[in-house]
Amino acid sequence: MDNYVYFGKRSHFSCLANTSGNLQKSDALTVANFGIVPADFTAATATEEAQGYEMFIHTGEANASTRGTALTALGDVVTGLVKAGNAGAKATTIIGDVTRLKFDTVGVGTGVLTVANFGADGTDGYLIDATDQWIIREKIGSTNNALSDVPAINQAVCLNMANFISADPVDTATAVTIGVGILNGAVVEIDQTRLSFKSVKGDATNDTILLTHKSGAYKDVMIAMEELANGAYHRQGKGYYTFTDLMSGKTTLWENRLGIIGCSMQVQAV
Amino acid sequence: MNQNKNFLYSANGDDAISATMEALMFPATAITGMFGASLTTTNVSIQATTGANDNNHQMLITHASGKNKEVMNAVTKLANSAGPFTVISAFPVGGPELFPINNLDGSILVTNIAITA
Repeated sequence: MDNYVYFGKRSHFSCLANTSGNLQKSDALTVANFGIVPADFTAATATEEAQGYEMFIHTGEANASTRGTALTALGDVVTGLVKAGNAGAKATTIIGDVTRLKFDTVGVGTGVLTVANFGADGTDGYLIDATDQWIIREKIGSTNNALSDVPAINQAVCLNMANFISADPVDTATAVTIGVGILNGAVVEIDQTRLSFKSVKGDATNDTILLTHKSGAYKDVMIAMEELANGAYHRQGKGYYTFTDLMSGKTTLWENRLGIIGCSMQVQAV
Repeated sequence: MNQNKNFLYSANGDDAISATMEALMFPATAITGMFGASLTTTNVSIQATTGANDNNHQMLITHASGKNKEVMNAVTKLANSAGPFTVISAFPVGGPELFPINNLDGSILVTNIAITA
């Protein structure tokens, strides 16, 4: 008898803003850091559900003439507050703001997101500051078949813990800035841990799970893996054990305990 | 020596089982992983009986739409049952194909299991 554990994907990515000619661009989403990379998209009106993910800017420096009126009207992602005042005040950001971006002004090309700046679009644009941070995560309620809506490899996997090999911390810092995410209504520092398993396919390349969790939870993730590998869950007749299934909208014990906000995977195609 | 292993058995194709992969019996611990392949199919990987370090066998289960999680759960329950010879699907001579896996969850409605080497 073996313990089988279910990992459901909800990709999460965070990076420090770029500079100069790349100021309005994010770092690239890749298979390694995001699992399934969203398809290219030219900025146009679209819902987050249809695209399957949502994008935020965490403000690192207060700036005037930064945020489009439509973005301000959405309210801060964390506090929910809609900034009051005249047009100038609404376009001004302060440190710690978390602004939701709209696809009207965001395009995606080979995993790189590009947002129109405020000067070009005072309604939906956003002028990035080099100290800002991007947060990109899958949308619960996504209807994007390619990312999560229709089951396919790398969207979820149930693994035999007898094939677990190792857990390894991943550095989430970009330059000297630690990665961030949104957990329980607050911006928090995040860390990531990569779990390795013998390939489901049976080839020489291991399958990996990338977990995004609250800062400093590396060791706790590893302890969890030990418990899942050596525990007696298989004797309870309940089937597999759900470690994380964020897209379901429910919260598992481990998501709550470890502050898990992201999970993506690289499973070799069979 | 009694190893108390649980072995799983699955048959598909026709009732005159004779060809490679028309039926497969394997230790439950040989299942390496499972994932939804589409809304109506779930893939179960099984360590290759050839001993090769690649190309595990694949068991593709066809089921009711959207029941991937439930199917994976049912397979896990079968794998962790007392055994020692647990039938997932069978094809009695002269009879229709049977799917005892459906007894674990009435909603999954498994209608086919195809095994590939």
